[in-house]
Amino acid sequence: MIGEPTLPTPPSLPTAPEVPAWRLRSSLRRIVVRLAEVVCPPQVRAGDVMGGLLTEFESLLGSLPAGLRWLIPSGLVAFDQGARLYPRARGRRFVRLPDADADSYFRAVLAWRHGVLAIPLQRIKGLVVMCYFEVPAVKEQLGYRPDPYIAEVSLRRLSSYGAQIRAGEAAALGPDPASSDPVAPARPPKEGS
Amino acid sequence: MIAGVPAGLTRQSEVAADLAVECSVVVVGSGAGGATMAAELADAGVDVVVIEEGGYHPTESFTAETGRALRNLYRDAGAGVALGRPPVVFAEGRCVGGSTVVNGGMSWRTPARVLQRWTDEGVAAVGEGAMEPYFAKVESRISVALQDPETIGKDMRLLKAGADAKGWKIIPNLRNQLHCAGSNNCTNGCPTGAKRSMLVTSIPRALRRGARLFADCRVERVTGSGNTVTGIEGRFLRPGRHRGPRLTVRAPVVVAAGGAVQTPALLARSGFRSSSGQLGRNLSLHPNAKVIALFDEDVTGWKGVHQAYQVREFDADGILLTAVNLPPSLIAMTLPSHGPELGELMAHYNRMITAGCLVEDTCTGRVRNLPGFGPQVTYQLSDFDAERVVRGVAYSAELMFAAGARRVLLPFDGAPEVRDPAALADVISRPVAKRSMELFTVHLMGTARMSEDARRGVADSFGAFHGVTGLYVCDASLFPTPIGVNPMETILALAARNAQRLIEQRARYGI
Repeated sequence: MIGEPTLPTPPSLPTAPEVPAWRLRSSLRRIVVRLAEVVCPPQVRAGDVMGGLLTEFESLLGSLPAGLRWLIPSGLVAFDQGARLYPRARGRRFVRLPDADADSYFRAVLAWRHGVLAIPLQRIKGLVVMCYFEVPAVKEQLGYRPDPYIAEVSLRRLSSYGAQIRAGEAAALGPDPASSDPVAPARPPKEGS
Repeated sequence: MIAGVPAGLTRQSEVAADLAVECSVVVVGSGAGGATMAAELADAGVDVVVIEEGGYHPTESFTAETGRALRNLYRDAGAGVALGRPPVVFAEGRCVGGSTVVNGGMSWRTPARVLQRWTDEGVAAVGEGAMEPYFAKVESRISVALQDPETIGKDMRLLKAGADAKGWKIIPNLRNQLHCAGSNNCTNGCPTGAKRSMLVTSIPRALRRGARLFADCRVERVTGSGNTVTGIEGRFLRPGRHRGPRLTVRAPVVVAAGGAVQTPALLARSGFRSSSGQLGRNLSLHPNAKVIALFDEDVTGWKGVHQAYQVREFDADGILLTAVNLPPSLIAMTLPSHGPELGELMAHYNRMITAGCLVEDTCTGRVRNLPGFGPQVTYQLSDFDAERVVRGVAYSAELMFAAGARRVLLPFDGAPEVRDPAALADVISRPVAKRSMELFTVHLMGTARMSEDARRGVADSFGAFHGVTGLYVCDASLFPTPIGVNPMETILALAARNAQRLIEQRARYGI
């Protein structure tokens, strides 16, 4: 709890409630999946990486303002349907294009500088890619393993400076040396929920 | 599940019906300005209520999961955008403790030249001597110190080696940390509590002295009668940001401390106008640009402190350089490549350093409150500042080459990867279109600027809103100009100073 000098704890301990995820319709999920297959590294098709990506993407949507939550699906639909106008697509939607054509269409939209879709697509691509690299298996593959490192240096901190840390934490909450501030007795904590 | 929450804190889950409370001072926002103001007032025995739109996330809940941090600790998942050419992405904290929970912990006093400029602009009692006791006080409160050497990682050592090779001035960072472990998780929330954010300093301090804090509650408007404030009206936010019960707080003093975007928006939608016409204007944001440098050997920038040094060689030009490790997801989302090419590049993640520049801007933007859409930010980078951004990027890339980088990716759409200083010089020598620049910031300032002259400023020299009794501003909105360094300590010191003034005037408000 805050209000008490505390020693650090490993980052895997109890956490606050999460922002609830925003559920995409299945048709939108299909567009996100197809877009991820184009913009993410090929490993996105391995194991349950795509499942993790979708979970992350929907969770992220849940934390965006309502306007963006509406704009992103709208952009996805426009991008999907817009493929029908792309000559190589021969009237097909983006989700139905083979890999080479899907990639080619994606590049064409991004390169169309005056197109209304280029900037939103760039942003949506960024979000999808971000969600891919948040999947634990992907981070592991990159050699990015912060949790054990954080645990290790947290212990080092404690063993090297424990007494000073406790004194410093207490001082921040104690009377101000420059005043006669009487510290109110700490109230008992409420039970958590 | 949270093991326990501090007494005095109320979250939305604990409120079933509309709530009305009374107090002497209600503070809107629990970040650097709001928390400091609340702690100072509570120290003096004032009955304080703090309202925070974000949730309460204790130290134990912080992890290295970036997506999770963006969702829980940042406003709009850190996806704010100042519209203009180029657009500038910005991030604001939205949680108990505000942006101090997710910043890098750099603690620098306001440069003397900036304080002098503010004095020249009509702000009283803001000279170096007058501010000294407040800087000292807040530095003690948040444990400002140099980093312990064992926590400095290889990325920072390379940064220093690069600056030394160039003969550039580089200084160790002062940070608000109590023997920081160097876990490099500052922007996701410090998992050890070593970073002395408001969450672990001024908020618990205020609560211990009887302050009350309502989290998960969005203030919809500041209420008033004539030219006198009477309190605030807000709504608790249920999961999914659905509107919950009302919170009404009656108080003779209201302190707006929601940051330089939210504060002017709140005051504007509450119907307050500044005769200066400056409310929401004068936005400065220290545009940042980054380069990504790739080395031949592993750097593992995530091992070691977030920022140990700053390059101060170009202070006179208002350009500051540093390096910041970013998690893979945040690097990848900004890279121009995709598919297999992206995978190939990101396979070198452990060999990357993200270096960047901060520019003390001369142009200003604006915050407008659009009904139904909330605050909208616009900002047009001037040619003068754009030229300095390009120069800052060039310096950052030169620094990385001097440190041994083999390839550098520039933040200009369509720019080729550069592999040596000559190629860099070639790219930089050509015009760089403003629209191609990828800029971001976490320093938003100036939208309710101070001045003793009500025709020039929104608030007086101590944060009192001109022409409205009982209304105060207490965040970076007050800055008359950008400051060229990380703004947290300036906000803290001004808040401590302005709280002192308010305490001296408490009889005026009967508090």
